[in-house]
Amino acid sequence: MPLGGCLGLASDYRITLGLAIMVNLHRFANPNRFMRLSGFVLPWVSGIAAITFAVGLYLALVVSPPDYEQRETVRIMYIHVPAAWMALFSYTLMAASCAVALIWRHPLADVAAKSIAPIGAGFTFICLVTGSLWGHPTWGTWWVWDARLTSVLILFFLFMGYMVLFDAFDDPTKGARAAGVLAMVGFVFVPIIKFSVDILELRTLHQGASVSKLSTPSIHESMLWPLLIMALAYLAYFIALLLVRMRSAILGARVRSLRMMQAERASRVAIAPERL
Amino acid sequence: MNGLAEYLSMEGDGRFIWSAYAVALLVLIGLVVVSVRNYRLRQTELNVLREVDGDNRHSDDGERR
Repeated sequence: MPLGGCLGLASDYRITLGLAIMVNLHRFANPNRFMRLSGFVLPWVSGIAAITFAVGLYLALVVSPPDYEQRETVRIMYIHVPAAWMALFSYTLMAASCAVALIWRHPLADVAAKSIAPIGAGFTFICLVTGSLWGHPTWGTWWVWDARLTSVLILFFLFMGYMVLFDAFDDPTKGARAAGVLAMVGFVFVPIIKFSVDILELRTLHQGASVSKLSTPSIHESMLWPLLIMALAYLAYFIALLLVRMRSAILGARVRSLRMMQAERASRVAIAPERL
Repeated sequence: MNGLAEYLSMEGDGRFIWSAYAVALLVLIGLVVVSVRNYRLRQTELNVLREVDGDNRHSDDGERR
């Protein structure tokens, strides 16, 4: 039965949507198609990242007012909070890519997961360092071993562990599989980090979430807009850099296979030149 | 000039704020520089290999003829 017929039979629209996504994912899995599509999207996303960073930094450092309690140090929020959001988002996407790679052997899933890891580690590092630099003037300490800070530190080690494990095996498939299992097991920390300030509120110095619901955020508009624009800048930056790294990994795979083909041809010529 | 110094001092918390922004920008720019350099390097490698591949094929054809 043709695929269109199968889709027509699926009476529940969610099944249809799921099937459509699966079909599109599979089409997108083709590295050649990915190279074409990403080559078209990359300049646009990079442009959006540059513009939103310029606007976001101007709003964060010049336009937005100081906080009545934290004074000027609140400006660290505009680089700290989006970094924390992106660290969690990156890890979730990396773990999901690992799951897809392990279950469906999606050709681009391992490439995606491996490309996400250094970017996610970078966001987590920014989150930790800027948080520490914000903590000293506001809490009076660089660091506390509470649930939120400790779990973010573990998230950083998970990203690093994933990268080390990926390259630790001679066989890249084994490395990808072992690192993928680590990433999926480590995913348990994502909800712990997300809810650590709400559930364990009394045992932490870290404040609760200010933007848990966009309809009723407990943050003034003059601070919300710079924060959201900076978050958009971080997201566009993430997508652009991910595309560059994935394209780079695909080119690397092509370089390896071309080298192997050339070496094979050279050895054939050396063994039996008369057959050619 | 006084206004700029006042702005940079950020009511005495300037060193924390500017250090935080400097670390964030260094990490973000560093990742881009490393990734783009790697990408260009692989592009060049691939082009060189393809040229060699093309030459080899031509020379193979030549031998066969």
